[in-house]
Amino acid sequence: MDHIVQKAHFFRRAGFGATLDELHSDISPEILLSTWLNESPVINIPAPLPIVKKGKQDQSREMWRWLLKQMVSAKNPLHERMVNFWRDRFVVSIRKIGRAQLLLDYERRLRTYAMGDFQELLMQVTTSPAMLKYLDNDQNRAGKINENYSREVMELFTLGQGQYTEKDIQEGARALTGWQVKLRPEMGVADVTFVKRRHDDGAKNYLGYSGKLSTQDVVEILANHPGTSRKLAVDLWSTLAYRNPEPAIIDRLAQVYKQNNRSIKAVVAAVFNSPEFYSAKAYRSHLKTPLYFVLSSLRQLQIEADSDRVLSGLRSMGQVPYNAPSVKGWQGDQGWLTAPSLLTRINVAQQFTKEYGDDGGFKFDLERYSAKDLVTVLLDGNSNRQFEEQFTGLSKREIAALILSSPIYQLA
Amino acid sequence: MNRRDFLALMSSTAAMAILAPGSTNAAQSRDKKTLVVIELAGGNDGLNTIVPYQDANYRKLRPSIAIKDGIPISKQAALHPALKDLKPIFDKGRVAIVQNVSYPNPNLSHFRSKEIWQSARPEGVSDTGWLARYLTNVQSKTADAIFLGEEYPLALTGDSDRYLQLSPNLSVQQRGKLGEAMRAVYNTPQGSEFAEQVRLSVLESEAAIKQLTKDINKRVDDHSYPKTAIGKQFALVARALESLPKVIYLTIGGWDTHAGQVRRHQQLLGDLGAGLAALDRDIQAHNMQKNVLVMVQSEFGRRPAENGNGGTDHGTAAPVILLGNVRGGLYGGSPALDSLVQGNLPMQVDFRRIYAEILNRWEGVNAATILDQDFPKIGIL
Repeated sequence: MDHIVQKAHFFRRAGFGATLDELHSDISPEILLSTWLNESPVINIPAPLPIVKKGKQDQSREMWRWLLKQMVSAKNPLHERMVNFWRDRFVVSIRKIGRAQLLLDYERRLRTYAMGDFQELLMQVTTSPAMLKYLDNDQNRAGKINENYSREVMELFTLGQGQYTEKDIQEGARALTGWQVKLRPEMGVADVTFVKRRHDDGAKNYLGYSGKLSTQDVVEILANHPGTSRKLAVDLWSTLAYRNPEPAIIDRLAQVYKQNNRSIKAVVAAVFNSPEFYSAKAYRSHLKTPLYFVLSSLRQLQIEADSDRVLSGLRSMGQVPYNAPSVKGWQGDQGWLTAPSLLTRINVAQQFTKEYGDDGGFKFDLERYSAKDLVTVLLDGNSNRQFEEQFTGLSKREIAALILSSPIYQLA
Repeated sequence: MNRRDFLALMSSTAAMAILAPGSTNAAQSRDKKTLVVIELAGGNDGLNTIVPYQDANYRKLRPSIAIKDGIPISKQAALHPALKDLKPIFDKGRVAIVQNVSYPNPNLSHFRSKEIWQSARPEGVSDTGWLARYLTNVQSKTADAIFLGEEYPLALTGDSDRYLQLSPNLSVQQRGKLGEAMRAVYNTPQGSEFAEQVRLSVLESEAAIKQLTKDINKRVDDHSYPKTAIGKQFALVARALESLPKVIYLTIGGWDTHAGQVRRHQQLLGDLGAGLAALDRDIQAHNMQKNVLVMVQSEFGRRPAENGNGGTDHGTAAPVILLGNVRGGLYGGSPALDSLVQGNLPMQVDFRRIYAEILNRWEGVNAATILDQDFPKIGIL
């Protein structure tokens, strides 16, 4: 890979794509990586709004406005990308929990622990009001067991299928009892309390461990289970490098996880520092999800966006954040080879780059770019005569729309 | 080629399958069956759909929004006048109406209740849809189910990849020079295999949409579908039937009538009734009357007592309407307005009984493998 291509590839995986300035800067991916990995995260969650009966949708819109801005203009793209990874993995949906306030709290947790100890992250997620409500663990109490969270935490969040029995699910659910969520409407927050009398404090047998196990024990057992390190290795590699990693790579990353006390940061560093990361197998090997397409277009061309319009585009493409169809989350790359997902992009690309005047919409400062710059920033400088011939007679706005709509730009 | 890659290719060829113009003929389709599920998202007001017009409690509970000019279909029940087009079909015995349908411990949240109807699992884990489990059970391909709408439903979410999805409002605006350039780019084969898949998917989807739009407009004229957005969705259902899928799932929104219900509900029901009637004409014209079963459901009904804004709040039990080769008539008893439970209607029929009867008798699979247990039949099929 040549210099620009390499950097563009790095930015696509460590973030949502590079701007022109970032591509032209002298700072190498290695330096960027170590800066981003070692910075402590800046967390600027907006102050919570009181929880009201009417106007819920306005509050969600406000949260979305903040989140979009955050995702597009994050100072630390790698941190943002990892928050996105965890949001996709630890699925919660506003359609069930209803309150944007609980999602702001959830965002704070994901952002604080995104690069930390996986065990702490898992504990934060497990005891968050959003997850307690989404997977019903707030209903799970001694004598009235609800297995929902106990099952999904193993199947989707840690071990993966086939590594536990139905008995483990039942016993785990008993250990996970006792949590309660109480809204404090005027403060715009929810308190999570552990109610002792709701907890089943009898002895349990869980994944080979026995004793009076608690939520803390479940989290510790799962976070240190070899199945978790392997599943995490597969998922991180698949997202950041390419799908279906070789067994040697999985072993290597699982080892890093174990030797570094479950440090997410260490595993992420190992992915980017692997020679395979810059291989042809990794290059443009992902189909952008609708959200990724939107974020990369806006970020790379520094377009100021009207968040309501962005949201409506995402709705047509079928991917509104915090609205996954089930706890399994969004489907993988190829599930997005659908008419709504692809055709809508072509319309959205034109919306993003149109001239709006006073009408609001999107602000795209086209003075910054020559046609060549657009090819550099969006296509890694890779183009051909046949493609560029199509630029003849088009305005720069139209050239930008054309490139954003092109097949190759749909790949990350 | 691994399985996922294969399925991805499948889904573009599947788009072609829908595109394939009117390949249906009676001989080919004789033993093919399609279940069309129409979800009225938001909670349809059952009491103003199938009206208990003789019940004094009904008028007492709804002083300003009770329907007074319903079309009687029995001694107790009348259709909302906007559903007049359903009356002749009901009289012919092609409509079965099951009243008071819900599930134990009904939930009044849109999300949770939709999740329950779509997963058919009122308790415990509900991460797969009942239709997806059925489709997996009969080893369906991507093209065997088609979702028409925007937000992909849990009902069709399973362990395999997504089924086909078509947004009724999809269109690509490509005019002028940019449009020409775009076409030129998309007519150029791509070097990377994945980019080539994207290119072909776009071309095929676009062609399919164009063809569909044309077909739908013609259909609307031929079979007098309502010339409204909802009417066109019904025409799209009929068009999608031609590719002989096992399931078509259509979501129609707008039923959450908390305020100013009378007019809004009348419009919606008007479109629904006229849409169903046109669909039925269309199905008969294609000699598919034994091959298509339509089920209209909603995540819940609405509160029997009207609220202070000329509307109704979230409720529980409501009617499910089936159209096709059914044993026509009314099932499930009359709404028990004299014995409300916390202001809401008590359930007479668990919705899973309807699903089970469809699975056992229409699809010919063992319902217990899809629904975790079997349910007593109602006798609608």
